[in-house]
Amino acid sequence: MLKKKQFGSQTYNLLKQAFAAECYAEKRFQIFAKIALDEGLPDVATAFYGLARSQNLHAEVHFDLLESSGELFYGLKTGNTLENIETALSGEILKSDEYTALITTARDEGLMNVVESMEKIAMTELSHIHRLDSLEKEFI
Amino acid sequence: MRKLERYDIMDYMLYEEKRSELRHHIAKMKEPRRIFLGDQLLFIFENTEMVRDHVLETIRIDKLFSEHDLLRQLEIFNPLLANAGELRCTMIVLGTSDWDGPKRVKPLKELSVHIYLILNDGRKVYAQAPETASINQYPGTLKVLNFICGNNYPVLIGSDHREYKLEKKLSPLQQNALREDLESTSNVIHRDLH
Repeated sequence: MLKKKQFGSQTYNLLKQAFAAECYAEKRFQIFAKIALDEGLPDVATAFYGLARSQNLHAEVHFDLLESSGELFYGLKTGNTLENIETALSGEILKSDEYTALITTARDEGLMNVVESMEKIAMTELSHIHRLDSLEKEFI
Repeated sequence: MRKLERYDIMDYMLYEEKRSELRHHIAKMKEPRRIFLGDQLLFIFENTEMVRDHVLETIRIDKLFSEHDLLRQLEIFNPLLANAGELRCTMIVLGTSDWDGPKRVKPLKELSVHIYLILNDGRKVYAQAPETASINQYPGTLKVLNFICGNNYPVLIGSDHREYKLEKKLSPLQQNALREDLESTSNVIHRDLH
């Protein structure tokens, strides 16, 4: 367990990078698994899905260590389910803000396909916000 | 604009088959309906086909297969569609923060009510933010705006917010696209504008 005083240390910074890398690796293995399925190779797909699960476990270890050091992951807490629904809602709203930043940059660089893609994701976030809001209301 | 009905939402497998063709069609349709106003504002004027695309893409991305989830998407996205003689858009307030240090973008206070269209008859119509659009209940960078245009179409979009004052003349392509959207509804319901 990382102690709170280790927040911001070099170990903490490397763990943060490792966490991102494991999340990325998990996604990459899932994509590889889908490709294997499309190519009619279910055994390979299963192996990739298994590897993806392992990356996920590594990411969870990093997450726990970082959280115990006081990392709030974009200022958002993990708590009981009601708190987590609120966190998820804040996270989705925050994320839709970040997508707007991506739209600005992509537009300035003339990458209209990225603009189009980010607009689409921002609209999907709208559905997530609605769903989490309903969940929160049902829960209270 | 016609609201989406359950029958507008095609089966997931059929959508997968037609998706690339449809995406191409929607991207083209979106071009003249995507209007930047300066550095900070982007308006996407919605129509029935574009909103159906939001629904289909959300279903696909989130793998929503139950009837309940599907109907909920209609409930979420239908408020993006205007009534007859009106135009509705998603306004996106553009920010500059990054993923390493994300922070909430703070849109200018009461920005929505300072957004207007100038119509081809010279009238100026201000935006309203309909409460039926759930996103309007949250402070944030996405807002749904509505403009009552009647039988006229917009030729200019602007903001007279004291911290963000500017106007943009719409190109003939943009004017035609919005006119088309207005005409697609104006025969359905006649609304008293005054």
